[in-house]
Amino acid sequence: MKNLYKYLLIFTATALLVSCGESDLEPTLALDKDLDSGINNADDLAFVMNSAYDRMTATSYYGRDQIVMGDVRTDNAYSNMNSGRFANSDMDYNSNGAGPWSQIYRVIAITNIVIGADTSKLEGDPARITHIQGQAHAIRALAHFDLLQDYGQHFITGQGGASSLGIPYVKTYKDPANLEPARGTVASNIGDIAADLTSAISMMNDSYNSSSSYMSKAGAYAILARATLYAGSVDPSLYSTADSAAKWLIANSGATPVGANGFVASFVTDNASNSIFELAMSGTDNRGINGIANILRGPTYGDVRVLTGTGTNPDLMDIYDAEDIRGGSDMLGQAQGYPTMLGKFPTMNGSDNITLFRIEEMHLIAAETSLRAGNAADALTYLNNVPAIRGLGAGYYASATMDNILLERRKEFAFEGLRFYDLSRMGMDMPLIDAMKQMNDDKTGTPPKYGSYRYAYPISLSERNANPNMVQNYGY
Amino acid sequence: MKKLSFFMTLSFMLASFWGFSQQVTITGNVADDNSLALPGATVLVEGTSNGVTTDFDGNYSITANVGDVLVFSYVGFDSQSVTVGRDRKINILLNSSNTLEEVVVTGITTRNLKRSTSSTVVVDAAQIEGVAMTSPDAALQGRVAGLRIVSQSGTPGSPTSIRIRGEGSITGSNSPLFVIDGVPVVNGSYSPLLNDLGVLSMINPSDIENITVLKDASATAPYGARGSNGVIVITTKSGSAGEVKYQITSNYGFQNYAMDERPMLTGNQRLELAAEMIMNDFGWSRERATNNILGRAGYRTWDAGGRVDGDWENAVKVKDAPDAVYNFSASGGNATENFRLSLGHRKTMGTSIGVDYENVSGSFSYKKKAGKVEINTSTRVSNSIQNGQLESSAYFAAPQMTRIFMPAVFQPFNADGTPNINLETSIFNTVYIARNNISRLDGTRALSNNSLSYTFNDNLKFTSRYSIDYNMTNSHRFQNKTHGGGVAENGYAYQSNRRNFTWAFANTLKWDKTYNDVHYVSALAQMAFQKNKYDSISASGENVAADGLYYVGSFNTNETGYGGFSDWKELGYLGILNYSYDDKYIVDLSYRYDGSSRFAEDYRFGSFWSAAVAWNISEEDFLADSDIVNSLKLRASVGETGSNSVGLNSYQSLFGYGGSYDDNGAVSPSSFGNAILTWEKQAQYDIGIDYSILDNRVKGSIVAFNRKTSDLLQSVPLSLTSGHSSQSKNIGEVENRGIEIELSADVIKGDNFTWNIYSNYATLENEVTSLAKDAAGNDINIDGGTTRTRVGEELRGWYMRSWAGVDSNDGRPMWHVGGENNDMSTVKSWNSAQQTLVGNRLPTYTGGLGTRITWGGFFADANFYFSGGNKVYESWASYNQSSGTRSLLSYNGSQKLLERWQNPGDVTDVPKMRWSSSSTLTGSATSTRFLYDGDYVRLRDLVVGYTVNQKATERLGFDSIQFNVKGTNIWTWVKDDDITFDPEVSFGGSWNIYTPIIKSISLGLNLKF
Repeated sequence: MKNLYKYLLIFTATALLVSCGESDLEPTLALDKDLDSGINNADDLAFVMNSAYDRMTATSYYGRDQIVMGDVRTDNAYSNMNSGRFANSDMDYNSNGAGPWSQIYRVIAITNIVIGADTSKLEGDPARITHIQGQAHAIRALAHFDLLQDYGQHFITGQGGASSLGIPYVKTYKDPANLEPARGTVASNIGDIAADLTSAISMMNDSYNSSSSYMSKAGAYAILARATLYAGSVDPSLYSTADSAAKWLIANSGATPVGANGFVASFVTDNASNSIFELAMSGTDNRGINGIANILRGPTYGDVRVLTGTGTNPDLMDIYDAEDIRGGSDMLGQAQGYPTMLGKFPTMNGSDNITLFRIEEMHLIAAETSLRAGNAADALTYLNNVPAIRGLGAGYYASATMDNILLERRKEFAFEGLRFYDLSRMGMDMPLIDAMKQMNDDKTGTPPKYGSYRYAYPISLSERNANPNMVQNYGY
Repeated sequence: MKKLSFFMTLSFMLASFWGFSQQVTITGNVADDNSLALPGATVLVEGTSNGVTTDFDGNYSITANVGDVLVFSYVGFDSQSVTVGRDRKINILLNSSNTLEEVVVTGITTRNLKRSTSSTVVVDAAQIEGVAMTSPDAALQGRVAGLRIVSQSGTPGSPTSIRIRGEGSITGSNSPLFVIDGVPVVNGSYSPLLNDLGVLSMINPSDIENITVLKDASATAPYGARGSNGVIVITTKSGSAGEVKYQITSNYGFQNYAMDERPMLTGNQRLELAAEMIMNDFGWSRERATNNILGRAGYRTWDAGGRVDGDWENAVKVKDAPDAVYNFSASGGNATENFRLSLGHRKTMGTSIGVDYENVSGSFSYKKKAGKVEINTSTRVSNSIQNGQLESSAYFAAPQMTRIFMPAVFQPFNADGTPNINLETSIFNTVYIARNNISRLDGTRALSNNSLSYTFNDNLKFTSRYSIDYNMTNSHRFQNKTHGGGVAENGYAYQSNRRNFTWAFANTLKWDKTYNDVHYVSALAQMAFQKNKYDSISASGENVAADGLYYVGSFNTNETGYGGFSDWKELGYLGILNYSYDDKYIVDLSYRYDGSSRFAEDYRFGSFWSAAVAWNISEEDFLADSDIVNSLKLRASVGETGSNSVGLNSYQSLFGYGGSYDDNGAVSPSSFGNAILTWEKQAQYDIGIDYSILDNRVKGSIVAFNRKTSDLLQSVPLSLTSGHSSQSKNIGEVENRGIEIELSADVIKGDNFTWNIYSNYATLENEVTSLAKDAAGNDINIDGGTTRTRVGEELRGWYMRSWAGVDSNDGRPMWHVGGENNDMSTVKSWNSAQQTLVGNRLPTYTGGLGTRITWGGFFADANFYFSGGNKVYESWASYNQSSGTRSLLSYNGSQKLLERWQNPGDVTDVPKMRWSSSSTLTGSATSTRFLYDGDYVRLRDLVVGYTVNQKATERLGFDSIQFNVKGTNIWTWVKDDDITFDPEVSFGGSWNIYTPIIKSISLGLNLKF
């Protein structure tokens, strides 16, 4: 009996030793923080905002695809299908979806967290908090603008122009009432973009600018200039907004064009003098094989090459004067036997910053808006500023025409992702350079014409399945 | 009379004299009535505590006095008594008292089969030992009704995946729980690289006594929140009484791909088709088109060099890859203590170049009885090194990708025999990669299992068990700077260490008692706590200064580091009650209260239970004397288990701090979160019959089951505009219904010749019965590009466009319009066709069929596995079967393309060649064209062996000598002629690029002494 007590005692002691309450089941949060308590001060807010930039650098957005797709669909480039990438260069999209939809909305979600932060509970400099929220407004506008360019139905025949389907303009994060948003019209999207940029410009303060790797008041003006120039094709009254934004930047941004001597080096220089806004990329952001450098010149993928042909339409190699640094051997040449863009995004490990806006664009925007406003003299001045700085002498162009402006834009921004949007906003067909290389599937001998449903990406199957309010684009 | 009494006295005295003076050692063997050894049988000197148990081969050795009575007993057999006389060797054949009286080991309880109410299947050591796969659970294929297992990769050391009774979860795990010697352990694999090392492969198969598969609620409910996917209970070998016995086994085998490899286009064939692309789309002559193609990258050099094809098939294959396994064990002991130790070594070459695997293991187990206390301890430590290559997708550095993607116009080797790395293609020469890169996993697993029992009396026993499961994996990846993925970084190195440590503590009180000889009651109470912690740290660097440096320390540019930590904890209280009336009527109840750290505080604990009844009809008077029926049992069970296999911390809305921008921190939400997340519940219903008839020569069981998973963890798709793609919710229900049949028959049961046939068969019907609803009250269907999940249908049934063949007039591909009404009219635009539900992803039937023949010392064993009713999809068909540039310019095509349409009137399934990379235009976009019948039959095991006769064995000084030849997967029949890959694909149903599943032939030698 005595033994029994002894063992009962031992048993009870052991049981007590290991009897665990519910509190012992609390998991450790080692790497993450609870969302509700994660933002407490201005620094926290800035770190959250950083992830918006970080998400913009993803391969599926500005890290590669947005830039490549802006050229590979056009007369500048094609996919040699070396690794089967960028087969979409023929614009024959699979109705299951295409484009950066998901990644762009991931950027927008961050901006909405920043904008929606309860500033009354944040410690730190209130003006800096406002500045960070202004950055978020600007990035939100840019992200929606990119979506609109890619998915909006405004250029598709019969879809209604300004009143056609745009994209859902999302201004909230995790709002239960807005988890299945419908598409706005193109006009309402443009209005929201302009409103966000207006807020951004008023909220940001230059004293908090650190480098062009972060959004600034100038960055917001640059987005406004590009977006309203583009939207002018839908609503011509917006050209004047583009005009004033571009001229504001030329006068006030402090960014100066890079001269001919510095041109090649500017593509490996972080925050070069002409940069208004760029995305920072460092060696540790290693995109490896999936980076933009590897798709442009290999050695591994190397699918996206300069499109050359012998037809009437000029290819990229045809348009540069012999002394134009932009067509020089440092910029355009041969790699693995293909005509190749050598000078832009040259660093193979992907550590070149990705410049989204540089001051040269503003001169060409000002030229175009001046011409559209009937001021040919101003237009010619702004237009000739660019070849002049590239060492081609003053008065390169004799007259400012839409063709010359477009040609100069092509020369200046080749392989920077603008060409497709320039051609479409000017109502142009995709030019035929070489039918065999362009591989267009309708086999009519020509790439898609302006107004074709292929000028907009299809909305993805997963979005349509998850969002009952989503409408597929025309033609898919 | 006097004489008689004198002699009697004398003999009595003599006997006494002998008895006192001659304490003798008796040895012998205990076997069943089929002469199969009975390991673990008890040999006891009657009236004393002097006893031993037989070893694995039924041998025993005991010291006794002449005149003592030895009692031989074994659960399920009638005891026999023998008085010790002059014989020093006593061999005993025990007659089974009833064949159903085996025991059922559930990892928590051990129960007489007669008093069990569950569906369990035991696979014993004979089937596990010498298994050609490195993972011991591979032995289960075809042996257990309703259990499906796939290997997927033939890379040695790779994990297997198991499903028991279908799939009940959409986003959670469907893998069963693994229990080793009573302790739940981690399973799965480590794959920080692009090869996988299964943690179960670090358990030496020859240390396993048996594997029990628990399927129904009455067996799995005691595992509470982890039991719903079934439980696989592994029991390891323990020591045996008697003198120390040694065993050496060795197996040496050769491995090859199980299925013949697919033929790919030769250079000339590819050229012919490529020219047709231009002819068809630009109207050129064949000559002009051929010349155009010959001027292109790849073709140009090949043509100039005399059109010699590169043999990539054989460049990346290792023929007759050797597999060598050696095991040594020793065991011995006496009535109060015993031990077993084992050492194992395995070295296996992969059938893909650059792949090998080596495992060393050691174990020691020890048992000591000291009065009422029993101490058990076992320790097993194992180290596996897997030198792998990339697999699981079309990685350029994956040798198996090269096999089917690399065009024959490229040469793998230079004239001097070195790998040719000047290829005008983006695909790497994987021969160079395999020789120069490193993708190594080095895993160490240590299991320590310790228990202390105290027996209060015959009825009450307390056991406290403490165990440790320690897994440490080092991984190392090195990419050379000369060729392949490391060129851009001028060399790249990555190393990581991952530690996964689990400790478990359980206290169990068991009580049982029989009242009035007919009321048998047993009860169990248990408290179990388990805690897991997981650490990982990794680093990488670029830009190495010189060749011959492989570790991160020498790669000093763009160094990155990562460190992480996570943990989970589980706490459960369990009660089990079993009541049997005269072994006729049995009632079984269990209840478990389980808590897990994976859920929010208010949803952390749950209750799980089971109730089961059984009726041994054969114990009733009307059957007791039956000549036909030996045993007959009707049983039914119902219960609720759970599955808490939800990602860690996923109930919380969290900020992740892993990102960076401009070398500053970047913080972003890592999950959408759902504070009311809890486990999936599963109600399971079983009804079955177990029978044994005709002198126990035919026995089997029939079971019908229904598994209803509710509160299904559903990854509910979110509109991507939210910035997230999905949110986990506990919504939805899935049912798995089926019938399982097991049958075994001794067709011939002679003294020198026996022939047994065994088989199992299971059907499965999987149906989603409820899903999450949107604001408007409609089901949120989970529709994807190849599968969909909707109410009333199979979980993730195949959902794609339906292929309508090639238009014989113009050679263009066609699809059925499809859609909800499955419109069978055809269209030539893939975008215009709609997805349709086109077939089952899960097999509707699976089974095994085997036979065993023994004839004298020879034995032969064959085991077939079959499965079907499902479809399998060829993932990379849009690359290998494209009638366009993907197969003819970028990569390589299958020879199936030669059947392409050429002229009006041609009837074929391969569209005409087009100058296009588009998968829709060339007919290679996702459709039923690449969805095949998944039915197959495979000769899983074929063993022929010979046991050398006793006389010769003894003359050589051994206890037993056995030779065997074992074939694994040596024959496969596939229903669909169009399948060019192994139909044993992953549970997702899609084939992917892995080292093909192997077939092997091995020679084994088993020595005991």
